[in-house]
Amino acid sequence: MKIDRALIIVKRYFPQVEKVEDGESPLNIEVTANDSNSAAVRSHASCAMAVASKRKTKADGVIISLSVAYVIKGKKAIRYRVPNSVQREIVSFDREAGFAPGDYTLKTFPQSLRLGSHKPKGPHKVAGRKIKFHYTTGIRTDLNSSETDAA
Amino acid sequence: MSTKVNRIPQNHKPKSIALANVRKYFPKVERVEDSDKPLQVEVTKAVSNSAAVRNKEGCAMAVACKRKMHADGVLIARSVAYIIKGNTATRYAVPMSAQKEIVSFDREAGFAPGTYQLVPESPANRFGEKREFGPGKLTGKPVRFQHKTTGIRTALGSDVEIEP
Repeated sequence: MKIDRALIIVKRYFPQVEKVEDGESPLNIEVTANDSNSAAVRSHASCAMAVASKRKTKADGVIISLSVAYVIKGKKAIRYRVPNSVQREIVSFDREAGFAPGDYTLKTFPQSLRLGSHKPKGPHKVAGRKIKFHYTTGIRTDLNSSETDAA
Repeated sequence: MSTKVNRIPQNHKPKSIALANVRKYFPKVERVEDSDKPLQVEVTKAVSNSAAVRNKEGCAMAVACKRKMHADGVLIARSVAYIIKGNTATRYAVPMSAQKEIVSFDREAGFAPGTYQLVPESPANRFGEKREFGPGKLTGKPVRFQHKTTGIRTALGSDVEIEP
């Protein structure tokens, strides 16, 4: 992903942010039953994981999307990868079936997916079969979409 | 200090363990094999409403698969699925998109209607792929943290399974 694009996404929620960088080490987060109860469904900035992450990191704000998380501290946003175990809980939480309390980890991105590591891979010709994607519905909006929830 | 690890990695269980797991639900099964092609399954709203939560044989995905494949039975665990026809069970991997719906469904928040895919296991995870894992000594980095998703169906190999 390009740094500019990540910055635009984060600035929609936290306009003061000026820099986005990748997390260097995984972040262990404990989500309690209280976090789950006090949080807002389908909200990137105030879901159970966001509330728990904010408490743990003492951050100014947190954005949790289905596959990417940003922890905001001052003018800087630190990007983490949301693992499958958390993705499943997010879907459950956004459909009002709860976020199971427990220990979760926000992971770092592998070298090839880190900000600024994008390498053009040729002309991108479309040939052969088209890949079918399934889109999970009934959950928070995509961070890239024009619809955003209030931060 | 090093410790010997005796357990088999989750993705490399021998065929006999898979067969034993399937036979708990379908005792007449004698053979387990990997699928070669993906399987597209349409889950409708009616199927989602009529299905049973935390039930590997009666969940929305299982009902839809059974209908599509005219199978004798279907087992849908969180990451693996078996379609039973006669005495043969065919194994598929459950992709992440379906896993998310399974968790939602088991927590009584519904299975979103739509088209899903069951996919063949990756070449490295297929039956008969033997890989050497070395002496199994634990040195250096501590054991990797793993989160277990709760409030959903039991794992296929677990001791606390419901009798079919």
